[in-house]
Amino acid sequence: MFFIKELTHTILLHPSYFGPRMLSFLENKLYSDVEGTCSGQFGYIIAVVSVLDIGKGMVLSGSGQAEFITRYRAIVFKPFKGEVVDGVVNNVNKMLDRSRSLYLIKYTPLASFEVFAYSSPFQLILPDMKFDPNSNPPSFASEDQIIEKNTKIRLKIVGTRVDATEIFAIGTIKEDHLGVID
Amino acid sequence: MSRLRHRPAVEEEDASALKLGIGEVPSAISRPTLFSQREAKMSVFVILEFNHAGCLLISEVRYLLENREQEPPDTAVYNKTLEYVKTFAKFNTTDSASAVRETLRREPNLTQFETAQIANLCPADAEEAKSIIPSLVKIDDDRLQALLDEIQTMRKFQS
Repeated sequence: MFFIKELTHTILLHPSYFGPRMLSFLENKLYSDVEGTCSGQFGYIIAVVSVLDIGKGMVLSGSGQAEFITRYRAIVFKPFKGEVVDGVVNNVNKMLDRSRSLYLIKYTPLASFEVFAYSSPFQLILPDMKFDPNSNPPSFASEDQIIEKNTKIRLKIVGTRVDATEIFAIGTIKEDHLGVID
Repeated sequence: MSRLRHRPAVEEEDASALKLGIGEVPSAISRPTLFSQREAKMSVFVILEFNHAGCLLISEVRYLLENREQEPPDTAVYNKTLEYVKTFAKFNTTDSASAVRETLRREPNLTQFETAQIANLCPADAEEAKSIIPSLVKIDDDRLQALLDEIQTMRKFQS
């Protein structure tokens, strides 16, 4: 889910930048610092929409650097457990399966998926879907639907793992109204 | 086994429990057996973090990204997102996106999260909607169906 959120970012500015172009420098620094980053708390910061307040700029005693606490509004993305999302399959492959041929759908945020055969105790997919390694590109197929690279699917996120700099989620299409979409 | 136990605490939230409306009590507190005290506090905090955040429709994200004043940053996250929102935006114009918001605002029981999910996924009937957004059970089938029909019509006739 995408959110719009007010966030703050602290910029330390070296005294050599104090001068007429300081404000535009600060803004550019803010954009390059935060855009594209990911924090466990807020998810991915995709783009800064507006800078609300660039901050007063306190000179720190000892170093001479100025500390600006900027407030800005940004588009953030964070997946939640239980959320239903659409996405594009970007890879289909089979991992060595030991007992059962099942697969998980790995949802690396921002809409890329890796669908792979995977032996796991969680049966997340319709059991009648078979991996077809001979097709080109490789695909999973059942009687009425085929999943291959670039197929659009609707899935439900069943679990997320939030690291400091990355978010992983896995999803299922084994429920009503989930699966391949047009 | 010991490696599993030493994994850092994973922070998880349930989308259905994520009440974005103001004043809702996060349900994580009522499950102390599942979470350690610290984790429970943490997930309450995270839910509160998003409490005042607005959920965006995919169509709105697309509009915001395409109408940026500054140079678009060349980050993987940005480019992937742009590609994603172009693929999955259901409403092409700001007019139709805001019309959908207006329609859904008429139903006061909908949270921000539910509003965005309905507009992003465009379920065709009430049964499908309740299946993919379980928290919609609180709304009457007939009323929900009327809303969904209206949204489908808007989608069909957007210029």
